[in-house]
Amino acid sequence: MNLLQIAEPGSREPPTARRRAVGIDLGTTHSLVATVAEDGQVRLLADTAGEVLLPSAVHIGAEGGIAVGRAAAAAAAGAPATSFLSIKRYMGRGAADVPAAAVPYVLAAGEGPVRFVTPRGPLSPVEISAEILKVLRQRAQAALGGPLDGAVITVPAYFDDAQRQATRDAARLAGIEVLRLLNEPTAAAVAYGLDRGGEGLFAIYDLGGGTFDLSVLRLRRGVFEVLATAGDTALGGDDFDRCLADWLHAQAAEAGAPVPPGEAVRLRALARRAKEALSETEAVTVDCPTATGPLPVTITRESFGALTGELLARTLRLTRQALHEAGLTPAEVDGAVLVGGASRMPQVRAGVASLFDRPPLTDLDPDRVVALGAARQADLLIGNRGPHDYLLLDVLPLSLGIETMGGLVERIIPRNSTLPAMRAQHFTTFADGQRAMRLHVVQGERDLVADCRSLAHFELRGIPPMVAGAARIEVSFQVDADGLVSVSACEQTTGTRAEVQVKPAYGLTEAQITTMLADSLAHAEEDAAARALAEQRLAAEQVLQASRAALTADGDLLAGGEHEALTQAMARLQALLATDDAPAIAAAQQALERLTEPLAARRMDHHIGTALAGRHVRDLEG
Amino acid sequence: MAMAADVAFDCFALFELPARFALDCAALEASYLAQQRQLHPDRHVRAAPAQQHAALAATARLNTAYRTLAEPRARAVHLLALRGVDAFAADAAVPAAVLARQLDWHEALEAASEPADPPRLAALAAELHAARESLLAQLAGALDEQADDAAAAAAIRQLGFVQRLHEQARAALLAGQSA
Repeated sequence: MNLLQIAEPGSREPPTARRRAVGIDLGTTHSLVATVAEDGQVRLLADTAGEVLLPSAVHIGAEGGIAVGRAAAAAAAGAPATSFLSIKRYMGRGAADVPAAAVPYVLAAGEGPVRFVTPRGPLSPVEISAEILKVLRQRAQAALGGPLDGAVITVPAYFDDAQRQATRDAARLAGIEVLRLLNEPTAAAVAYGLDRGGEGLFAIYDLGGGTFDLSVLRLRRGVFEVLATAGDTALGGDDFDRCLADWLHAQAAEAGAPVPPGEAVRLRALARRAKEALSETEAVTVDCPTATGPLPVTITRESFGALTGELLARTLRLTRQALHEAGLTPAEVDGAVLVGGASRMPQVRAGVASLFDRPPLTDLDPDRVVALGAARQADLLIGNRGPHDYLLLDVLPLSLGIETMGGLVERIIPRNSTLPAMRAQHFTTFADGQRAMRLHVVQGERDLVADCRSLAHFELRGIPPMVAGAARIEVSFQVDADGLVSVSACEQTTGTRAEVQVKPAYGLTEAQITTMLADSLAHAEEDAAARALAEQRLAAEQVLQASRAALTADGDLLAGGEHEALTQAMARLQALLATDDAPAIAAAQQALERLTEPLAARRMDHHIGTALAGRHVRDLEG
Repeated sequence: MAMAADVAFDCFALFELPARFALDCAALEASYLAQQRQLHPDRHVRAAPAQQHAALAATARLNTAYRTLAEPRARAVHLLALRGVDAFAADAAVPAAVLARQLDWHEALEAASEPADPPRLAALAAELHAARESLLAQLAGALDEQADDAAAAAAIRQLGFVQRLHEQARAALLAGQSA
C-alpha cells in the first residue's frame, strides 16, 4: 500500500498559518455559519444586528434587486410569487416535480432543472440558493478578516446525487470552495460526540424545516461510523405548518368567513408561529385573516398533535426502518438525539421517547447543532490543528443502479454502503464497429426505472471499432465521500479510455455553471451594494405597511400630537424610498419605529384583554 | 445477478489476516479503521487531485474488502474464489430434501404474512436464524477443516436462500409492528 504519501492533517502547515474555514448549515427555513475559533471553541457567526439565524428567504424585487434573509421573508406575504421561502425543497428537481398549482411561483418552460420566472429572468434553485450562500460567505469573511479557504456545507443525509450536485453548484456560484458536503445528522453527531466524548450507538432524529433524516451511528475511538440512514427529503416542519394552516382555513370557512387566497401566505406564517407557540403553551388563538376581518380560532396542543399524527408516524416508521437495516432494535441504541427546529414539538419528543423507551437528548440547540458540527469538520479538513482528531465514515443513502432492458433497474451499489464506494461492471458491444454506448444511471430502491430518480445519461465515446461482442468495456461507478456519483469507462482489450459525457437529468451543465460564474464575478461588488439597498427598501416598506395598518386599526389609542408625528415620519420615509440612499432610508425607518413603539405597547395591552385562551398569536407586523 | 465476490484482489491479504473462514473480527476492525484513518479522502482534502483520486480508490477498495469479509457468506464465496472455485457453478444440483424444506419455509412465510401473524412470523424468523447458524457451522467445517469445497459451495447456496427468507420474515414482522 504505497499508493499514497501519508500525511496527518495539518502536518504540512506551520501552526501560525491558521486557515479560514467555516461550516454552513444551508437549511430549508434558515441557514447558519460557524467556525472554530483559535481557542478551539466553535462560534456561530452573527450578522451586524447580532442575529445568527439567516432566514433562507430570497426576494427578487420588481427592478431585479435581490434581498436575502429577514426582509425577504417578510416580503413574502405581499409578493409571494417572487419571494422564495423554502428553495431547498426544489434543489436538484425538475419542473415536473414541482406541483405548479401548489406553489405561488410561476414556472418557466423548458427541460432540465425547474426554473422560476422572476424580474431577473428565469432563475434555478441553484442560483437562488447561491444568493443565501453569498450572504453567509460575506458574513464569514467580515468576521474572520479575509477570504475563506474552504467550507463544509451540510445536506440532508437522504439527499440524492442531483440534490447534492445542486448544492455544490450553488456554493461554486457563491464563490465558496467546498471541502466536503456533510450529512446533517452526521454533523450533529460530531457536535454531540466530541462535546461529550461519547461511545456507543446513537440514533440521530433530524426533523428540519423541509426534510427528515434518521441516521444510526456507532461512535468508538474517534470514528463516527454511520450504519444506516433513512429519510424523506419532502417531509419537515413546513408540512406541520401546512397541516395547521389547512385546518385553520377549514375552521374559518365553516364559520362562514373564508380566508381569501391572497392571504394564504400570511395564514401559513400565522400557523407557523402558532406551531412554535404550542411548544411552550397548551393552547393558542390565531387571528385568521378573513375578508370580514380577523377571526379568532383557538387550537390546543392535543388537537394539533392529532392533526399532524400521520406526519409524525411517517418519521417513526422511517426510524424503525433505519434501525432494522442497521440490524438493531430500539433498546440497543444508547441514545436518541433530536436535531432540527421542528423536533421541538412536544408530540415529536413524546413519539421519539416512546419508541426508544427513554427521553431523547436535547441539550444542544437543535437549530444550531448542525452548523456547530460542520464547523468542526471544516476545521479538521482544512488542516487547522484543533483539539480533536476523528474520522467520519458515512454511507450512500439510496441505491445506485443502471437501466437495463425493459425499463428495469440493475443495482450497482446498494444503499447504506460505506463511502467512498466503487464498483466495476463489464459490458460489450452488440453491433460491429460500435463506437459509443449510453448508460442511464438512476438512484432509488424500486425495480422499475420509472419509479427511481433519473440522475444522468452517460455517453461513452471513443470505443475502438471491433466486431460485436469482442469489446470488453469496464465501466466503473464511483461514489465519493460527498455522495456524488461519477462514471469512468475503459475498453480493456485495447486499454482505450472512453470519453464520458454527462447529461444530468435535473442539474446544470458545466457550461451553464461557467457562464453564471463569469456573470456573477463581473458584478460582485455592485451586486453586494444593490442587495443592501434592496433589503433596506424592503424592510422600510414593511415598517411603513405595519405602521399604516396600526394607524388604521388602533389610531384612536394615540394622542393628537403623537398621531401627527407618526404621519410625518411615514411621509418622510415614503419619500426617501424613491432614492438610492440606503443609510438615509435606514435612519428614517428607525425614527418611525421609535414613534410606533408606544402604539405597539398599547395595542398589546388592548389585545391581551380581548384574548380568549392561552397565548395570542399576533398578526404579522414587521 | 449473483453477488460474486471480487477476486481482483485478496481481501484477507489487505487486512493481513489468514485466508480462513474463521475470522478474528477484532483484528479485522482494527486493521480496517487504522487504514481508514490513513487513506480516507478526508485526510487528503487539500492534496493534489491525483492523490485525492488515489485516496478515493484505495478507500473504496478497503470498504469493498471489509464488507466482503464482515459478511460470512460473502467471505465464504471470496475464500472459494481465491481457491479457484465458483460457488455458483451452473451444474450444482440442489438435493431433494433441501428443496422440500425450502418450499415448506416459503409456504410458512406466505401463510404468516397475509394477513400478518406476528407470533408465527417471530417463530419462523427464529427457526430461520437457527438454520443460518447451523449452515455457518457447516461452512466453517467444510472450509477450514475438511477442505471440502463442494460441500462449502452447497452450504453457501442454501445460506443465500435462508438469509433472504429470514430477511423477508423480519421485514414482515417490522411492517406488522409499524402498522
